[in-house]
Amino acid sequence: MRDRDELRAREAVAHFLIRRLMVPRIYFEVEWPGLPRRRVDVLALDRNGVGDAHIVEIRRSARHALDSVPYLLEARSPYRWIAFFRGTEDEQSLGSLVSQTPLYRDGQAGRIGVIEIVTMAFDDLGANLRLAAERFPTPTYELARDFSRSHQAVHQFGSD
Amino acid sequence: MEDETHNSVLTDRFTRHLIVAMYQKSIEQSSEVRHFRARADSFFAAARDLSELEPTEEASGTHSYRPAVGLLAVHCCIALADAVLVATEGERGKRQDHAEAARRLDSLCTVHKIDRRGLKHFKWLLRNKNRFAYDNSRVEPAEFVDAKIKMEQFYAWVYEQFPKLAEGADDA
Repeated sequence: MRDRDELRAREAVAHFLIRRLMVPRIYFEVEWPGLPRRRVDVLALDRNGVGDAHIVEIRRSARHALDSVPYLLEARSPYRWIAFFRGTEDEQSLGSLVSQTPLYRDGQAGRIGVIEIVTMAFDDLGANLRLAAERFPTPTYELARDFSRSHQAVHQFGSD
Repeated sequence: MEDETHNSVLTDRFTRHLIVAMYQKSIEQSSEVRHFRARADSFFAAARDLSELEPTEEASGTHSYRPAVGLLAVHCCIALADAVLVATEGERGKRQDHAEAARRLDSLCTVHKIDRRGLKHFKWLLRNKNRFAYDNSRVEPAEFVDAKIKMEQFYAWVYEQFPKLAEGADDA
């Protein structure tokens, strides 16, 4: 069973992406064709579902979030993110985050971005940028178009 | 009757393919399209961020961002309309006549049978441009909220009807 706060954090991450992107469509826990055999915690398809894809893996701890990195490096998506709760870094994960080495793929442009989940007043959750994602050269426009046609988004901007 | 429906679906698909083919090349080749898209994005982000800063209660010493958000929303949609027009027709709207951009988009929709519902948001913003920029009466909270929503709705409509416009990395 998933950690309750990890599930709660999806909404905070969704709003983080809505603040950065242009009328994105947001999906929770979906099978993104660019990441086979695994569900993406949060998927954002920019520009009303037809632009760049952003995939986010959310874990309570930094270490577990970094465990997702190898899968993200194999994914097809121009933007990839990990998210974890602030203050959960151990020595090893802190080293990885400072060096950033695991967030890159050899011989390819792009960097996995890092989002921090923070607990605010009244136990509300927020999401802040820790390290910006850099674009991977794996456009997925056709995938995004097909996906947004066939899936109902959790958050979507209306046009009418 | 079924044949008619089938033919209509085929015609729609053919029209859609024509449209896509028509502007696909333009977008791939045109830095101008990306320029206007990036400019629209800049206005959009500024309007969105300013609206977050709008004070919830009016107090002395605080400034309202409402007119600024309204005007940014107008210019955001003008720039996005220019991106569509450059992509589809190779030429942006006239600088001094923004209504002309709306008319051209309207006729583009008519000719290519594109759903035009999103155009009403653009027209609303154009009608209110002077109101946000020059009027001597204050911009009410409801108008400010409307401007932001209209901007988002026009954005969503453009990418719904012209998905190829979303392609390619943003200009730096």
